[in-house]
Amino acid sequence: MATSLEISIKEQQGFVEIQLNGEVDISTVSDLKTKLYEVVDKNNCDVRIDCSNLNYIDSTGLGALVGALKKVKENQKNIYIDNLKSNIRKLFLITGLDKVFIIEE
Amino acid sequence: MGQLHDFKENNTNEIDLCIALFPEMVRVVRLTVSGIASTVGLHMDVIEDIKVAVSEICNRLITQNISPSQRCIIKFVISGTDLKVIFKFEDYKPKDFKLFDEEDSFGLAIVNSLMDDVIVENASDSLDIISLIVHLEESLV
Repeated sequence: MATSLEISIKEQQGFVEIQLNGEVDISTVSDLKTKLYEVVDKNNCDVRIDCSNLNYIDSTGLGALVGALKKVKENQKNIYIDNLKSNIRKLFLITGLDKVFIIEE
Repeated sequence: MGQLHDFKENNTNEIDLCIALFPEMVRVVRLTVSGIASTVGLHMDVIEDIKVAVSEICNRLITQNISPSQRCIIKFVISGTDLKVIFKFEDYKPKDFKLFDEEDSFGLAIVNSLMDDVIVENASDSLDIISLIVHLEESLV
C-alpha cells in the first residue's frame, strides 16, 4: 500500500522547516517520529512545521509532536505549527495542544 | 434528509465493514467511513468527526495485540434518531478492555469530544466491544 505521508525537511536561516504532506496516522507516525527526532538531535534551533498539505493527524501523531517538543525545549527552543487546516486545528483545541505549541497562520 | 429516507425505504439500516485490522488498514477504514456517513446525508463536519473517532478506536484495538486472523467488524446502524458505530471481532472479545489508558489521553479526549455518546460494552454475553453514537437530528445536511 502506498505511503500516505511525505515529509520534506529544509534547513533555513535560524530554523528548520518541516513540510508534512498527506496523513499522519498509526501507519505513518513512526516515519514522522524518526525524522522529527533526527532534526531535533542534529539542529539546536527552532523547528517550523508547515501543515498546509497535512490532511489528517490522529492521537499518535499528536503524541509524536509532543515528544519532539519536549526534546526541543531542553535546548530552550520551540516548535511552531504553521497553516493548520480547520479539521486539524479542532484536534489541537480538543486536546489543549493549542496552548502547548505556537500555532501560526 | 432525502438520503436517510432512501435508507429506510430499502430497509438497509445496517452496514457491516469486516476487515483485518492492522495499521495500514486504518486509512481504508477512514475512507469507507466517509463514504457511509456521506451516504447517510450527514453534514461534512460530522462526517469528519466520525472518521476521526472511528480511527482512534481502530488504533486502540490494534494496540490490544489481537491476532490478525481475527477480523474486525465495524457495524453502522442507522436508526431514526442515531447513527451507532459498533466495534467487535468475529469470535473474540478482549478481556477488561479499557477505552484508553493514561498514556493515551489525547485519543480519549478526541473520541469523547467528537461523539455524542461512547459506550464500552462490558456484557459477557455479547461480542460488542465499544459503541460510538451520533445523534442525527442535529447532524443531517
